[in-house]
Amino acid sequence: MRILVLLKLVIDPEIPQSKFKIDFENKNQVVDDNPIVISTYDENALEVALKLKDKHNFEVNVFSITPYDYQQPIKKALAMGADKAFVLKIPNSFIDSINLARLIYDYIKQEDYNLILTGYESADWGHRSIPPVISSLLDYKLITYSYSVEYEQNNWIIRKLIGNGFVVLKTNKNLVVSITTHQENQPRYPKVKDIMMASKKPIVVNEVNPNFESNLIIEKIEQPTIKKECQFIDGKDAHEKAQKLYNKLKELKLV
Amino acid sequence: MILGLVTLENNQKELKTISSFVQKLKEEINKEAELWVFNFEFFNNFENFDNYIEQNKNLLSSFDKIINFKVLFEAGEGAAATDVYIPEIIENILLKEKINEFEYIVSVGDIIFSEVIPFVGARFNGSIVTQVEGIDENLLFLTPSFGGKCISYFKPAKKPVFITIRSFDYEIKEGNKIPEVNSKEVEIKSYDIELIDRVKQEEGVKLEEARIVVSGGRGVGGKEGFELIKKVASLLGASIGASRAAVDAGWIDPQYQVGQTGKTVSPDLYIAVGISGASQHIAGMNKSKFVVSVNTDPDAPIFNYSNIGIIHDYKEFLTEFIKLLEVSN
Repeated sequence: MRILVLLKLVIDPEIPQSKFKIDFENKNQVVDDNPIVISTYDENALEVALKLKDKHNFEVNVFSITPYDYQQPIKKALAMGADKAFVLKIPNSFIDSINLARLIYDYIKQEDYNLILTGYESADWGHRSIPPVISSLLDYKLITYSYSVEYEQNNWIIRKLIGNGFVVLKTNKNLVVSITTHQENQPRYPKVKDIMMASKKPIVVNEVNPNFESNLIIEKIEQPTIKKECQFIDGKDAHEKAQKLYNKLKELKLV
Repeated sequence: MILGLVTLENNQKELKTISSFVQKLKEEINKEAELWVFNFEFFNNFENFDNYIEQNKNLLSSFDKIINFKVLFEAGEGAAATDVYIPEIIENILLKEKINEFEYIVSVGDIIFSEVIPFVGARFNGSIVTQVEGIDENLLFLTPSFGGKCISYFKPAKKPVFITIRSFDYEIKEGNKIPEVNSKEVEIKSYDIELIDRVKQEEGVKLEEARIVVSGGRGVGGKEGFELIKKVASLLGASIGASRAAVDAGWIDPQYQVGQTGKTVSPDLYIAVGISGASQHIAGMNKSKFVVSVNTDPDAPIFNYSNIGIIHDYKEFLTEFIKLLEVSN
């Protein structure tokens, strides 16, 4: 079986507030010298793929379509255990999910992957649309918001989170699964030996200057200020402070 | 024309969300709206559609017409209706319907339609706008981005416009007419995804839906500290939450993480314990209506986003707070 993991590269969401800047004219986040990382849930998706590789020796490739410097995050993915990486460089501007998925589709449709994994939501736009749209274009089956995929007797077995638990789903068709975080898919730390080995693994880089008719246009972006007036509770000890807080919450009917 | 999509399993809160959104949309574009209710034969109210309409009539007044979309099961031997995977079935149905005659196709972004809507939207080459939280006077759709740090305004460039709503607060006008109700039947003959098990996990109140969230961060210092957090949460009927630092340290499971790379919550009351307030975390909780923070550092950024601050050792403070809650319970 052949597995492809779609990795979105994003400006590190963990940077301090002072480093988070929006270019309001171009309606995008300013890169500056901030680190570029793999979007969180995509790392969980890679871990799910690597668990399948550990057990069945399936091929695991990664694919990233990005305007950013891909070197560090892609090398990390290879060091974690991916076999081969494909990078498609694009200009830094907003592309709607259908047109972005079409660019990915053009590069992967000939490859006959059996399973495509990716995070259920990206840390930047957070639209959750790429997994459904890519499965729709490929005519693959689709299961979102899952945390594990196994392979047993020619079937994919998928565990998907629902309101108060999870469901177990089974199919023998090619499919796209989007992954959320769970204690079972926490990304592994590459060992020094793996990091050395990764430098020998292939990264195939292409560039595209897409020409398309947008399905969805970003008109503007706002960054609201959310500061509140904080009232500090004084008291001689923990008991008095707790009592004051309790009374206040009671008064506001919050408890 | 506007098309609303729900299943019989969508609750009243979700019905209110879609109905108020459709009403607002109608005020902007003045078009008629239809609601399709997907009705699987293993749903509770399958045979009682009249009851469903009666119970929800105040929430359905934005629609001019309702279709009871009965999904019947005609698959092969040994298969049971409950084995189907609902999103797959609804996708197959919608791809055969003439939904491209509608201008706007709207649903709540629940576990079913967040999957169905972009899948079908791509096939019809429409505009896909997900996670919508508002509409402005120029018919732009507002969605949160960068984990809630920003709000982005999107303009659909293709029809139909496929929309999932994340949340929407708008007064529904009481309708004076009950919409016309029709039925339609479809048969499922085959499917590719089989539901083989359903496992319930007791994990208390669901984080994203909780009215109160009690969250712990690096300052909590370890797994034992989270026992205090859990105790407060259970006394308040709250869900527990955590910052990324606490999750990374392995003190609590990752599904409880609140923040840009975790869950986004908007409870009535958010209690942040030992959380410094990195922007990553703020992004996930800044929609909370009332925020209380407990921290020993008076300069912790979390206080900038809090209504009430308590500068104290959290263990001592929570121990006292727990005593008060136990007495009042």
